[in-house]
Amino acid sequence: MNEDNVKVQMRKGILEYCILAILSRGDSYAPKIIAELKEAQMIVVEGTLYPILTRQKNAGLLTYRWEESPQGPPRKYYMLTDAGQRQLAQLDEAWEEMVEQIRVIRHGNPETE
Amino acid sequence: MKETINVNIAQQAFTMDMDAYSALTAYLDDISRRMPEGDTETMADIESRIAEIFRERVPSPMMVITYSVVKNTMSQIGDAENFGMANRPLNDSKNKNRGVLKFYRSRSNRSIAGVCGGLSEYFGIDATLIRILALVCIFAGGATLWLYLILWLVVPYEPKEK
Repeated sequence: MNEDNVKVQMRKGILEYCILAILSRGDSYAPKIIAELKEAQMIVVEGTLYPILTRQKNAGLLTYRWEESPQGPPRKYYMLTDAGQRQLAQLDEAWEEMVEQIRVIRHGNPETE
Repeated sequence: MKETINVNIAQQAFTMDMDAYSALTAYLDDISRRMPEGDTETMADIESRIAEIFRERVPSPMMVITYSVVKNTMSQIGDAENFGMANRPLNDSKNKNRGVLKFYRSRSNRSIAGVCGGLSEYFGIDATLIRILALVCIFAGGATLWLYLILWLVVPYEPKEK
């Protein structure tokens, strides 16, 4: 497994978390979410986002409304549901925990040394 | 000079070159095979994104969507492989996703003129069943034989595979 592949797998694992985090800052539509994820180098291609959004919506984490757009057809604006908020809070916790654990793994636990 | 086709992607009209159209159809078919059964929503989202990218790249509705526009759009959306493993055979989605399925006489599936084979491909019914029905109708008399001959004359052969 080369290092690029490892990075891809890591990002894939936290992509759903990232989407919830983006939506917690405000409702958004797919191309805008894509732009943010691209900027953070979380995704390279756009298509992969759509199945995840549908999955999260079906799981009750997100919901959407149609909103007119200044140019072109109406847009699907996604927003977090209460369940989505709770899921995000749990994932935030899990993330903090993981960062701390990785830190310990990388540098050793000062208490046991 | 090139042949074009008018298509409706996410309720927007586009004029596409034939090669661009067939590339896009094959791509969408491939993706939809990798989606969970009955997930039309994600496909609709992807199609409306494709329409949006087409409009960005080709702002004038008078301009034709060329193969290179489709190719660039597909690489922006990503290879179909990114959507997971295929869970259905290709021809499953063939009949319902083809925008225009034309009635041709079949080249591959023929006993006389390919009329029954063509009907079978068009309606997705077993060719043998159609042949038996046709023969029964012909022997029962009536216009079936004439109908067959007329279809033989009027319906073109399907285009040769590239």
